[in-house]
Amino acid sequence: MTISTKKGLVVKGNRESILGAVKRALGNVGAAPPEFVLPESEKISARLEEIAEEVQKRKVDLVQSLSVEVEALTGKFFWVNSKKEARNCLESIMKEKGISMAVKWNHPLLDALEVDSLLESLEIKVLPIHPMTNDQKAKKKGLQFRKEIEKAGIGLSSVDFVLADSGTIVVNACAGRERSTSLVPPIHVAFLKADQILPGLDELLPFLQKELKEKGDLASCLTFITGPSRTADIELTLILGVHGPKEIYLILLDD
Amino acid sequence: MEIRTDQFKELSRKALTNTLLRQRLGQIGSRFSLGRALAFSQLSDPEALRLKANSIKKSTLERLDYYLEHLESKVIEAGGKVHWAGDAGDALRIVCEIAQKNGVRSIVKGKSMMSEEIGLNEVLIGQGIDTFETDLGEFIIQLAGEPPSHIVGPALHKTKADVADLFAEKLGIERVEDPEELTMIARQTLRKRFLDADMGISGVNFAIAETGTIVLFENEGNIRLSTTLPRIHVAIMGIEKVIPTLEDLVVMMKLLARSATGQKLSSYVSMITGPRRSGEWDGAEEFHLVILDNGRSRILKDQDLRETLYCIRCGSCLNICPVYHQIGGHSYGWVYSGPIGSILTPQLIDPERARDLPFISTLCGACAEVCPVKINIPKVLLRLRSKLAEDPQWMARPHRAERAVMGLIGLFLESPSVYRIGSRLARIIQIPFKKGDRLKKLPPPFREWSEGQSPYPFAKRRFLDK
Repeated sequence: MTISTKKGLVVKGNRESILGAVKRALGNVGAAPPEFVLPESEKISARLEEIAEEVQKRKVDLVQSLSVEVEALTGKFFWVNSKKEARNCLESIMKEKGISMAVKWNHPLLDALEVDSLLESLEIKVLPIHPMTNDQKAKKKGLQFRKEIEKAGIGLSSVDFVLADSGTIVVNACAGRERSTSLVPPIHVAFLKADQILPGLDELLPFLQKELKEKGDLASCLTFITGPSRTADIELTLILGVHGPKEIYLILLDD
Repeated sequence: MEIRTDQFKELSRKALTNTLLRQRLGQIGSRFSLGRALAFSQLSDPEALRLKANSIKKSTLERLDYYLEHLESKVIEAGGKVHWAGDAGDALRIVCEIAQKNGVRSIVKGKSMMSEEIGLNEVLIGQGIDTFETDLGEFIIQLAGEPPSHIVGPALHKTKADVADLFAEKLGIERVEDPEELTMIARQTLRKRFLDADMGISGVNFAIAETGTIVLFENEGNIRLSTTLPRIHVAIMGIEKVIPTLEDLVVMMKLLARSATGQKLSSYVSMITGPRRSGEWDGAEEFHLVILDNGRSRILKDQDLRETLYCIRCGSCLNICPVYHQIGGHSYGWVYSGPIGSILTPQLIDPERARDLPFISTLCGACAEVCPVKINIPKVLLRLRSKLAEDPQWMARPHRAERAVMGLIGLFLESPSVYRIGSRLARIIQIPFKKGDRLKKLPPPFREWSEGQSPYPFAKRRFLDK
């Protein structure tokens, strides 16, 4: 099926003919390629230090901004000063929502908060996530996981960063920190520490550039989550929790 | 998608009689435009941001071949596969082959204008593959068998009663009219489809050459689900979607959601680089990027029309356009509606069939004022109009009547005596057409002109004779 036009041939087929058509259209044949230059490592490090200082100085402002943004998105924000308070927070959410099954990240912060033992004490089943390998057994486990996760009432994760000016959670996918945790269950709870708060996208950029410089590429999936899932596709009426979570909680452990 | 651009006059006439539609379009327009204005006013220097975005798009397109090659190498490095499609036929063949090779029986799709452009759904369904739209608005219009009427809200031309009827009929459920209940029904229906699907198809908002990353914006979460659960992910992009670096992406991220809906950022922005890595459960095992030309390399050639390709599909031009508010998206007859539709469609399809589109404008310039990448849409419209009228490669058939009339007017204006005689004659000739203080139902070729306008008759005494 070719859309024919009177203005000349539509380009068909392969890579060479398409790139050739583009080059000819631009008059670029034989031109030298432009350069991809990341800032030097020292520059990136210097910028990151600057950002760390700024975040320290403006901590209270940033936390307040984060709180305002999250609440405006209908999320709930908790600023706690001890692991015990954080656990209590989580416990009350679990009880209030009547959770019987949860899925969680494997993450040092969740371990430090002893989330596993808390869930056990509340008799809440946890879907296990083990690193996926390529063998058949693991693939079967993966498929089973997929079926089970739909039954989970809550997803527990940490964050890589949060952006204070928009209330955005930034999460990198990797083994043990699955994308579906913050997506499939109807409730998402994210734990964070104060040093993970950044003012905004401009401050996030050097972190990504550093990662790119050091590892050569980015994670398989970097997701920016700003509030619950939403739509206004029916008569512009705002509805939450269409496909993603309906409720979102941020718990800042500032100890 | 079926092309109906040559039915513009019919379609727009029909839309003008639909009062409910026009009310709804007005609501959408003011809600999103107001949201946009508020969101922009909170930026420290919105104008500088727009200028930066314009400059990124301009310089990227100037070296597009290089950025596409670099994008390809980075996607491959990340473990993805890259396919090149010259036209819709190529793209359809590529996607079908991927599906067949992998025994795909069902597909879930995120909203993608590109997939509408190439008519992907019909072809896949024709191959016996279940293909489900998952964005709520797209889900609704797929059930209804209708084309989208707005870039951001494809089903906004439907009332909740319409949707209630549709769901009751097509999903075999008890009829409910509450939007929340209707949405939950859609959620339940689509849940199983996400979990069972073999393949997820998405468009691409931006493709970052520096990292081989595709970036997807959404509010519902259906794109995340479509790219997280199925084992194969196919992303289809037009060649113009590539941007150079992460730094450039930040500029676009600040602009897109604010321009589209007035949000600081869409609920979910996914940056996907290749397939999932070893040890990960979620994410596709295979990632395919289909890079599609479909007429865009031709648009690159003309430097005055090239800015058409800057578009980031935010819909802010639709939301502010006074003409769009009256006639709605279906009147534009193809995938792209509103001001961007008026300039893009005639350059992608046969201009003969789309010849009415560049004239769907009062040239008020509101679109240019809101466009986040500063496309000078009125300028492009004028250039398209002149091409349609004068460029032999564009002119399908010369508008004979218009040329004849212009020639005649030229005669009258060249000579004072001919003008004097002519204006006296005109005052007599017009008598049968005077109705009240206007001229109505003039004979062809003026017929259509007098239907749209209400021309004043020539006065009894000329100003010069007073």
